[in-house]
Amino acid sequence: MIFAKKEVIELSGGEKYIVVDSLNEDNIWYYYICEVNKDETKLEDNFKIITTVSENGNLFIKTIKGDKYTTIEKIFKEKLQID
Amino acid sequence: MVDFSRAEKAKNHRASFFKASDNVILYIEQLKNEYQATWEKNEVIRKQRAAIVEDTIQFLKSNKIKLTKQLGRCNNEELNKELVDAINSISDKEVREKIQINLIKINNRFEVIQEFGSELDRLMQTLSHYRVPEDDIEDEIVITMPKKETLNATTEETPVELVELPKEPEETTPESEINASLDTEGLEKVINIKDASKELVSDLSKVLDDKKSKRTEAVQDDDIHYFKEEDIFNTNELSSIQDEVDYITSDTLETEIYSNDKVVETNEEFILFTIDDNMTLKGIAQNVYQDEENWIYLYNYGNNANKIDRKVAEFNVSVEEIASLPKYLSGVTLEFPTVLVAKENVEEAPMRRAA
Repeated sequence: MIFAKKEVIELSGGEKYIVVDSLNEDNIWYYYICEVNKDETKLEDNFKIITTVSENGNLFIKTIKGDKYTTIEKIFKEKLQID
Repeated sequence: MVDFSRAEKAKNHRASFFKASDNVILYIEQLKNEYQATWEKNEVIRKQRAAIVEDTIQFLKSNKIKLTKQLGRCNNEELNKELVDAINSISDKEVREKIQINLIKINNRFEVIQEFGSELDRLMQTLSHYRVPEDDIEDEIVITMPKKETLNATTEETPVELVELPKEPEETTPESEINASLDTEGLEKVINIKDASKELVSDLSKVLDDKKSKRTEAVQDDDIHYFKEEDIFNTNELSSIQDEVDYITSDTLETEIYSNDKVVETNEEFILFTIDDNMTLKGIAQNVYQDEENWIYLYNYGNNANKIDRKVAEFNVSVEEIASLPKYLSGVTLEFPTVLVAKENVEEAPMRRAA
C-alpha cells in the first residue's frame, strides 16, 4: 500500500487529494480520494478512485473509470457507510 | 509424368526441382535468422529481468524480509504473490516503494518476454509445416509445396504434403486486462505526499458524516432499548432525541445518578442510549448537540470514557477513530446528558420526573 488514509497527495498539475480510504482487490490497491482546496483546509466534493504505478523512481496515479469504477466505488461506499 | 527419355524435359525437371528446393532452403534460412534475432532480443530482456529479481532478493535479505518461497524458484505469478505479500507487510514507505518499483520492472519485462515468446512460437509453427516425416514410405516421398509467389510456376508443380502439428490454443489477452486498459485514464505524477492538517481531517469527517446521515434511516421506537420518559429537561438540546428516544423512569434515574460516584455533573439528568451500527459519537454530537466537536464532552461524560476506552483497546484504534467511524461503538450503551455543559460550568439543575 503506497498511500495511507488521511494523507494528502499533490500532483504535478497542482491538484491535491486526500486519501479517504483504501482497499486491496485481486492484489491491486485502490484508493478512494477526494480533491481538496489549495490551502488544504476543505474538501471539494470531487471523489475519485485511483491505483498507483511506479516507474524509474517516479510515482504516478491512474484514475479508474467505467465498470471497474462502479464496482470499486460500491465497495468503498459500503465500507464507509455513505451514499 | 514427364517423359524422362527426352533430354530436354529431363533437364528442365531437374532445374525446377533444384530451384524449388533452393527456395525452400532460402525460406527456412530466413525463418532461422528471424528466430535467432528474436531469441537474442528475448535473452537481453530475460537477463535484465533476472538481474532485477536478484537485486530484489538481496534487498529483501538486507532488510530481513522473509518470503514463503524463494524468488529464484518462483514463476512470475508466484513472484508477484510473494512480493505483494511482502509489500503489504512492510510499514517503511521507502522499503515498500523500492520493492514496488522492482516489481513493476519485473512485470514489464515479463510482458515483453511473453511477446517475444509468442513470436518464437509462431516461427516454430511455421517451420513445422516443412518438417520431414520421420517414417518414409519406402522409396517414395511425397512433398506438397505451399503456394508461394517465389516458386517457379512454369514447370509442373510437385505437391508438398504439409505435416500439420496439433495447434496450441491461441493466447488471448484476458478480458480483465483488456477491460483494465479501457477503464483507466492517463497517468498523473505524484510530487508530494504528506499528512493532512487537523482542519482538513475535521472537514473530511464532517463530509463523511453528512453523507452517512443522509443514508441513516430514521430510528424506530422498536430499535430503542431503554427509557420511558415523556418530559424532557431541555427541549432545545434534546429535540432530535425526543422524537426518537424514550427515557428511563425517574426513579431508576435518580438511583443511578446519586449512587454513581463518577458522575461529575451532580443533579444532571442524562439518558442511556445504545448506539447502533449506523451511528457514531460525532454524528450524535452533530445532530443532537449541534456541534460535532462536542463528541469530546460526550466521551468524558459520566462513565462513557471507560466504555469507549475498552473499545479503543479492543480494536486498537484511536479515540477519535472510535468516535468517527460506525460499528466500533455498536451495541455500547452510553450516557447522554440532557443538557451538555462544560465541567467548569456545572450548575445544579432541578430534576424532572417522568410523567
